[in-house]
Amino acid sequence: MHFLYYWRRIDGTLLLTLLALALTGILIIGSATHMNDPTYAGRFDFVTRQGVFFLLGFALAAFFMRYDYRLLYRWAPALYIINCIMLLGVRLVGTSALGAQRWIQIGPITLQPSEFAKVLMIICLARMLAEHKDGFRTWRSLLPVAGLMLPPFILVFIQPDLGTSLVFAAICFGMLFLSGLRMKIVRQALLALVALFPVLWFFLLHDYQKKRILVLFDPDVDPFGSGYHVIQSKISIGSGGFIGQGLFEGTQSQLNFLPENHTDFIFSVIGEELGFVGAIFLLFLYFLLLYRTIVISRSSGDAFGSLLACGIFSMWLFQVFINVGMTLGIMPVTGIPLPFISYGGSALMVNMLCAGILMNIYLRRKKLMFN
Amino acid sequence: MMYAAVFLLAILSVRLFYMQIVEGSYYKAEADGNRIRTLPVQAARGVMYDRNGIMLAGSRPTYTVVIPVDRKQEKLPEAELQAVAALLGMKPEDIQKKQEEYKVAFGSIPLAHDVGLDVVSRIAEKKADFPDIEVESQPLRIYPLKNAGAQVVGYVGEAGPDERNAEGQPYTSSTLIGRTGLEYQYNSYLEGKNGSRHVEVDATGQPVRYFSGEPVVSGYNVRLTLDARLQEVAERAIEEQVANLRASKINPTGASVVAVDPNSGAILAMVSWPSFDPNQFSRGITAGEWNAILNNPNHPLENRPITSMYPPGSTFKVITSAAGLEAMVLDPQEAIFDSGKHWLIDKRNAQGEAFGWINFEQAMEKSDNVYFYEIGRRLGIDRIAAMARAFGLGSRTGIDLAGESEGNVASEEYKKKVFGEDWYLGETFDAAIGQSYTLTTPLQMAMVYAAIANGGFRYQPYLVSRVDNLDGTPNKIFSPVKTGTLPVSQANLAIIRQALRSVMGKEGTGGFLFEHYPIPLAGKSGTAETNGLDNGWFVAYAPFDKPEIVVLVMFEHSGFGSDSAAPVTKKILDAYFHLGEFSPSAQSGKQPKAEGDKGGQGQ
Repeated sequence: MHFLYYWRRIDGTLLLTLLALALTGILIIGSATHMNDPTYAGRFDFVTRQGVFFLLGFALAAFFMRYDYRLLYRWAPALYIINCIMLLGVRLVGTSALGAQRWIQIGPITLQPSEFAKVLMIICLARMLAEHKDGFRTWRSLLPVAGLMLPPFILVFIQPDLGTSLVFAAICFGMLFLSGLRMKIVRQALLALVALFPVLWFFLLHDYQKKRILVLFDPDVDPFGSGYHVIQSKISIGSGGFIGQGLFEGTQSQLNFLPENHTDFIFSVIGEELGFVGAIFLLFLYFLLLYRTIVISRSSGDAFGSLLACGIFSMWLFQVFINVGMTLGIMPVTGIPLPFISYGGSALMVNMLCAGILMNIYLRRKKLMFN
Repeated sequence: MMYAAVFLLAILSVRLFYMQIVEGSYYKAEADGNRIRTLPVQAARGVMYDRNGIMLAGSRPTYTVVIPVDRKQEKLPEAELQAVAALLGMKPEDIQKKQEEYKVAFGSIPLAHDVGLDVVSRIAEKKADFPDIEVESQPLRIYPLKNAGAQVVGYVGEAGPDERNAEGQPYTSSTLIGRTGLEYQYNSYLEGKNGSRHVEVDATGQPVRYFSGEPVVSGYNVRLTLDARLQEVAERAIEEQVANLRASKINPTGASVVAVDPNSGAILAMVSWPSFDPNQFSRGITAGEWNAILNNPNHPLENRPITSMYPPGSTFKVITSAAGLEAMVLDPQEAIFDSGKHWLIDKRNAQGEAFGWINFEQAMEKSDNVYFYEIGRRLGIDRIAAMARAFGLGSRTGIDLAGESEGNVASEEYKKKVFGEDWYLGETFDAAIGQSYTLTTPLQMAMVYAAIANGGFRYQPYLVSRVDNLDGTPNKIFSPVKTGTLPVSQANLAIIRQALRSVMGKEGTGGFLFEHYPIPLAGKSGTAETNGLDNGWFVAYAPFDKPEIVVLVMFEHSGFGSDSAAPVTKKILDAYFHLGEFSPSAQSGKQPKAEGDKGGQGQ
């Protein structure tokens, strides 16, 4: 009875969209990891793992459907503490890769706490903003928000994971905006950012991060270092043309000219193999996803639900824009994965959970029904 | 929020459209450039064969380790540098130095030439360790006869950036083109057409697939008139004679041999001593080798038989004789008194002899000067010069080699033009015996005797008889080219030939060697002075009645022709007619040196 009830009230568009996204992701991961080439040992490894995480995430989200998302409101302080402990854990016992310390090994599972931190921070911030009904007119009023956001932000930033810390900022901005952030403060913040840019540049950014920004303006400043990714990515996408080279046929990806082609640069594979048609269709899927998220945010009966959906919206939009922009050479190279598509268990789980939260909000959109 | 989403997604879409639709072809080309490397495939250069099919110039496949063009600007990573250095047995600094040197040069950077198959297979097996080097297969030009005929066959070198092939296209890197000799002369036939091969590589440079590219067209094979065996004999004979002369404190500065078929002008052998090994050039000449060639005062690169000019000395007397006979101022029966000097001007015989009353045949036999002074006096310089020109002196023979000299014919006009002075009778005397201003190349003199031997036909000497298509059918056949006939009657030619026959007789200057020669032959010695040093000439043709071969040998600065040049002439004739040490009985058990195709032919 429960199931049928849920099924009738579910957001079908959202469900289909995220299914389409996740399946596209698995297919493209297959292409990028030479699934079709029998000479590759373990050619199904990545696809299998991503598939397992997808099912796991799906099951988990479906399971939480039984519980009201408003339980998260109550759990928020605990989740905040768990989040900080996990991020500290990365600091203490984490493993490094690609010059950053981002992962924790727990038995056979490698977790990326900064991915989970995104959704946890959305929950915590949603609670704080839901309590704060007066809007944000002064800098002073933002202090509690800063107090909440800064510890995890700093922990992620020093991993270093500039990308995820920027995702935090984007989430924070989106949710504040919904809660009535005054444009004056936004303008002042932007001015301050510009003014502080030299400080950021000379004291906070690592050399490789600076290089990535420089490369944005001219990939040829470092064609075999940071610029390499961008150059190869642009070549991949551009060479896809209108209809693409065909699945499994992209030379850039198949011949390994394109690095990280199953993770951060997976969009380049889509651009190369499925062409303009495929890439635009993918962006359309994201549009649907984001559109449904907005609808859900508006349909929510309480501020907490709206804020949750808004945070998720901000996170996804920011990640899609930064990731795709990066592959197109208009955004700096940051380790921000493409939601639902990029290979990565933690990220996929988190995105599935977010979709679950959205579904949960949508399910309970009219208060009366559940009382 | 909706606006933000639409706005940002629209930015991405516009950018996508711009990159994939507007600039798609540019990126497509970039992607192809990433994965497709075009490897030049060198055409195998045509093979040169002697008249009996013995290889004189061929190619052998070799492997060169290179840094390909597209990666030459980058520094090798330290680990790879060490690995490459260890593999090739080079110092890492030397590799870096090479890379630096070749940075602006043309084509890929060759690190090691002609490496063994072990190196090739190790690179292939561990391509991952050596992503930035490649092995190019290149044909190496080889010259099995080494020094023998080096100036005639020539050598090859890598084409420079400004050089163009027959179609006016620049060469791909390291194409070999002929630099000298026949390699140069027949380059357009020999070079073939380079092709290419496309290879798809992955990001590590590992080849994934090969595509065919431009087809390779091998060079045409060229058949020479040379006889490799005779060439080697001549070369060896010269070297032995040089050793002999040096033993008796004579230091020849150079020597030439021309052996030609008088019935066609086909060159059978052409030696220029000192020589060099053209193999040095094909495998990349070292500074030491190059300096040795360059600093040799005797200029080994020069092809003396066609470029060097000498006074012909007494070998010229046949021309004076022909002019005299034709002008009827020379009566073979008439005896002229040789008192040791001419009665008008005190000009003497070479060694101060006085032969008394002698007729034409005796004068020729003993190479008497006084007799020919008198004939010269009777003819006057104009008629001598005219006959010399009729024999082809003063103009190029037209042999298919570059750099031939014209020589010069002594004449009144010449002296006026060059020195602005009048002609003296004494100079006519000199001209009559091949001194004075007359200068000839050894080849020109060989052709003079060829014309006398064959009954008055002048042929253009030639070295290539045929160019073959790739399937072996003839592409071009070079027939003998007759350039003229001598203005000398058959009767008079017979008189001259008879006199030349007696030169080889008991009383003649060649008699000491040829008196009992089993093949009847005719010839003439000559000694011509330049700057107080004697150049020795000896020319012979055989068999007397039906001449097949004219052999001319000339030694610079080596005393009398009979002493220096005649023994070499004899050895070559021995080889040609399989006599003496070259007789079948003496040869049995001894394997001729240049038999068969050693080292493979072509590629």
